[in-house]
Amino acid sequence: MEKLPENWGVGEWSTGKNPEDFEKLAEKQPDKEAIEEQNKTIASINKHLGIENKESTEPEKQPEELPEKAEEPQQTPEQQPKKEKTPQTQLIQRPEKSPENTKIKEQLHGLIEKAAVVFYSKEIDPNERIKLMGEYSTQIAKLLNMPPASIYLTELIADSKKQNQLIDKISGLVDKAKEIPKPEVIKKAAEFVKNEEKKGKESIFQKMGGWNTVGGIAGFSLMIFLILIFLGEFKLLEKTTGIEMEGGGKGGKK
Amino acid sequence: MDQKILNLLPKELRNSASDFYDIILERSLMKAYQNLSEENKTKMAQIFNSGTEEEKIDFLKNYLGDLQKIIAEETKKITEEMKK
Repeated sequence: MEKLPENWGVGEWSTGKNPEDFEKLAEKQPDKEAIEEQNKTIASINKHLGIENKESTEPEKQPEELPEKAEEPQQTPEQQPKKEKTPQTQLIQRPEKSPENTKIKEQLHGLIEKAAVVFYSKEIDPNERIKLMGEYSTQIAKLLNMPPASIYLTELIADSKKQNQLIDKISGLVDKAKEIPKPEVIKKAAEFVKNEEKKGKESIFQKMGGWNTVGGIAGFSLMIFLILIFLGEFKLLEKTTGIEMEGGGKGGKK
Repeated sequence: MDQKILNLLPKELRNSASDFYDIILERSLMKAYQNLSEENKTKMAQIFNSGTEEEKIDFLKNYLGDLQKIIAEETKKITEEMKK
């Protein structure tokens, strides 16, 4: 039996079954079966997001079945009846107001805040800190494995001004880093680590039981943690509960 | 960096996040390298020039085992630098 989207793992979600694929599908002219299959999938995602499906269960009428229309006077935009939302537009519209979505955001912020306290604590033993970070990052990773999380996170980072400031700062750091001479072996080692990480489960790191001997953190979790700390540090993750965000995201300004 | 993590970010931030990670990784490797003896520095150069994947992993595990700890410390330093 085919798994529902809410049961997809990270790999499945990010390799071919992500929302961008739905957008590509929408551009095509699929056959009737494909449309039904797609609508079922989207309805399932909407159900997961807590969005009510307004899709009609009636079969779509073919042009020849439609009653002939008498010529009607042209309507002004105000007079025109509002179009029913399709599952596709419902998905693209901001789903974050659902209680489930709000709960995920609250959990995410709570974990980042807790992790940040540990991260900056001077009293915790470094090895213990790494271990605790590993635990928080595992919880964060678990939370983000939920399919809609990618939508939420993108929409959480909503302040384009802050984004640009951050991008400028990082560019400055990159320029500065380039000026510092480094032995060739460092560049080679960094390339090796990056290439191995890209391989994921096929990485020799994984085959050899992981390369990290301190704290037992998987590189994947650590990187999620670092990125979230980095986003939280620069307040790019807005406090969302009860606060309206401005700009950014697919939905633009609220 | 893992593409799955990058995909969680808005497109505008992906390159910067990747650069950020590269800087942390290179700085951490540099710090770990500086802690090595001259003999091990030479050994590392030999392995990363012509060694097998297994030899490279073994070296990272045996001589740079605390790299993750260094990465965490370097991240702290970099975020502090960026706040200035």
